[in-house]
Amino acid sequence: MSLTTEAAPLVDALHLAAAQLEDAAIGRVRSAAAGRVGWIGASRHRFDDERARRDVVVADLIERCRRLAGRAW
Amino acid sequence: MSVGADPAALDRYSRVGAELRARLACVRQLLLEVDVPGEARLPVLELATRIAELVELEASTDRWVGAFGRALAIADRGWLERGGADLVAAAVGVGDPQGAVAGLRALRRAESPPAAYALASQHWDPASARRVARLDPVLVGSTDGLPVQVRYWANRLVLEQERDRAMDSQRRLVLDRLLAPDPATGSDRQFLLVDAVHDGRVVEVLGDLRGADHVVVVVPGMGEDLGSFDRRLRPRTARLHEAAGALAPSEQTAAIAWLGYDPPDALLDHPGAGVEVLSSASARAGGRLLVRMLEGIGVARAGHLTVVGHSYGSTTAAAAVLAGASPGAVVAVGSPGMLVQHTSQFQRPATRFFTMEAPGDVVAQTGWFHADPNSRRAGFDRLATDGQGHSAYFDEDSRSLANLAAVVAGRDDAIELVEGR
Repeated sequence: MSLTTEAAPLVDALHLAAAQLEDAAIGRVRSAAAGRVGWIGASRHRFDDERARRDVVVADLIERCRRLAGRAW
Repeated sequence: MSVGADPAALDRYSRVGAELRARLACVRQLLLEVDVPGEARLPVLELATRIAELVELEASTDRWVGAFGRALAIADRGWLERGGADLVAAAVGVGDPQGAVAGLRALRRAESPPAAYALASQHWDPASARRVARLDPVLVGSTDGLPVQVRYWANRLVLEQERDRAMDSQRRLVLDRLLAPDPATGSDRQFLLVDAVHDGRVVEVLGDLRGADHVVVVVPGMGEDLGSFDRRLRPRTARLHEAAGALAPSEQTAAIAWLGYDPPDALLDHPGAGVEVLSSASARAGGRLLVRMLEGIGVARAGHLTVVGHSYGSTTAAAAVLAGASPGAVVAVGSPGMLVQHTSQFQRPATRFFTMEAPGDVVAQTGWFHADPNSRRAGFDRLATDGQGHSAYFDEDSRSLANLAAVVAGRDDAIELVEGR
């Protein structure tokens, strides 16, 4: 069995993980946007800061999944 | 101060968050369970770790955003305008006990309502709650809205500290007695409040408050203090608790001996105290404290809640109703007045108002505080009694106690009424 065949389940899992993470990120962005409406003040700033940091983390994880899946093991 | 946010939208955000976190946890599990070639093991494990960290961070945001949204729904405009919801969010967002205590102190400075503390503490686990209680037992023990179990722990620490620094042997004896196990259950006593300053205040819970079908709060009158608590209020409350429990054996009953305010000193103990007794100021201050306590334990508007006020304590119970409490029933026992001419002035159509007057009870005939509630014109249902004088209402095996118990247990068939004067 070649290395590529051996890695097939992992590649599938990574693609699935990337898709799921992307889905989650979209859900988060949508519900966050609805929550932001009309909200001003200190807590809104904190929320925006946390969300921005978190969105970067999710984007990085999606990228890592795709990179790993695309690597020829 | 944060304004304008939609509580429903924030609630949706935190609920959607729970679903997303569950999905992320599944993705992580998938990566941990899939067959991984040797050289891919490390990056895949790292990926799984990063996802677990993300889940934790998202949970932390969801917690404070959810609490913030619910805090916005608290009906206290002044508090919200003072930035109350932000303070709740800040208190929820911290992970360490010191930070939690700082958050509670900030909420205290902003004169926050009990619901704010309930939100701020809703994610405490038992271990962290104990650490918070140890850091500031007086604050935790006296804060309405915090979980009752945490307050029991904190107030035990308060009692121990007070006992250790008591110079007066009499006071030390009183505190030692409060620290001793409950003779009926053998367990630690459950104090919702211990304040040993001056006359002192104590609130003790008998039974399991959280699972109770029926809750009764007994409010004492003049002359009660820390020193008399175990001699009068506590045994009276215990007898009522036991009698009500016996009437509703398949249900849970809890009783609260509520010396949560400073009643006026007794006339006979202090001859100069007459003016103080005749003022309703203590009752009104106590009424506000009673409303807070009821809100804090989540039974302020429950139909199964009965408030029994004895003597001046009935005036305090009346003040609590006028200040917003909506118990299922109020019993004015040996009452010198209920601050109204007629029960309709309470504007509580769902609350039942009872009175009790034993022969020879001179206090119950005074009508010091507005009208005489025992008059049939006052609108109270008068419960039958059998004792004599002002202090026999809670006597063991008495008809008076049985009648009080019937009201507490919701056993209308066992309530015995008599005509008012």
